[in-house]
Amino acid sequence: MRAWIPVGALWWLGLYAAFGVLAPWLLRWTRKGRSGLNTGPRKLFQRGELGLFGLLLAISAVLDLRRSGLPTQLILTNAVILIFSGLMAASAWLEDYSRVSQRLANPDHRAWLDSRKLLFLVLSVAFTTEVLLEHSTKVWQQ
Amino acid sequence: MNPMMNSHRLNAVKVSLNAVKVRLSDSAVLAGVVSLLYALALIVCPRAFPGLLERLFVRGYFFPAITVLLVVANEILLVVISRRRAQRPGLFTPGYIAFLTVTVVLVFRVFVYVGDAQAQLSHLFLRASSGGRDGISSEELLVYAHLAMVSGIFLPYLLVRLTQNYVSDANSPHHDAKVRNAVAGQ
Repeated sequence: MRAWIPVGALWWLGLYAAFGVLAPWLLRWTRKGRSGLNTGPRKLFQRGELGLFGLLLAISAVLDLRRSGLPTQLILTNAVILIFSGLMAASAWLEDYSRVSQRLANPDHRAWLDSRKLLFLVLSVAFTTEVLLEHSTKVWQQ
Repeated sequence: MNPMMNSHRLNAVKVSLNAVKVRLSDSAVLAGVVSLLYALALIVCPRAFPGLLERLFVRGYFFPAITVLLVVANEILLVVISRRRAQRPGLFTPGYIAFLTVTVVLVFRVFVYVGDAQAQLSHLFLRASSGGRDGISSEELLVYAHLAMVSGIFLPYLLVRLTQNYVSDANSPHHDAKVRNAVAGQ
């Protein structure tokens, strides 16, 4: 199992599954029938809160990169890409927050769609970075 | 002139003058999928995939291949975005995206060659003591290739988006005047 699937990288998928899928689903399930509240993922994260989660993921991936034995310029380049995508994910929330605070129209729920797609990018890059780190560790151990 | 007809024409001219509005999330999905496919290739073929990249690098096909792939992927993505929004892409935006993609790949090419030169120099000076590597390692090449692919898709669209924001902020009154002139001309 460990030789084929990098276990460390599965941590990222687990985080996404827990916060992005399981928690909203559980909330919805516990409230079902008791109240008329709409607690679907789209409703819960309509302000682009997933983007903030993307920034947190990017920061934790960068901290993980710092502990690896990769050359400094590689760590820096990878960290810049991760932080850029994390910041762009968080900007989906920021844009929506600014629109709401200035009472501007926000009709098509762009924040939810943008934050979901940008979180997917951050998650993919973090996952692949972990796969690459695990691969490098194995090769250097051999 | 009928005011209803005038406003209809005004809207039509506005649509034809508008460039394709790019959103950051448009390129995020493609970049994410490419990144996941890259990880999948490495998980399924942990020896063959790095070997293939290294052979391409040694023969000099690595960066030309990445450049062509990324430019084609970005242009197809732009066509898909413009079709989805029923807008015509024009000539400037595809050219700008191709230029930015080539520039991003060039930057990574410089990074890889600098890393390769550093490894060769350390091999030259540390050969007797610790046996430094003769050139860039395939693991470093793997990381650079991944970053070049993700950045080659994400960064050009990010820069296009920033440019569009800047231009629309700067030219908003000018654009309105242009639309009114076009309608008056009709």
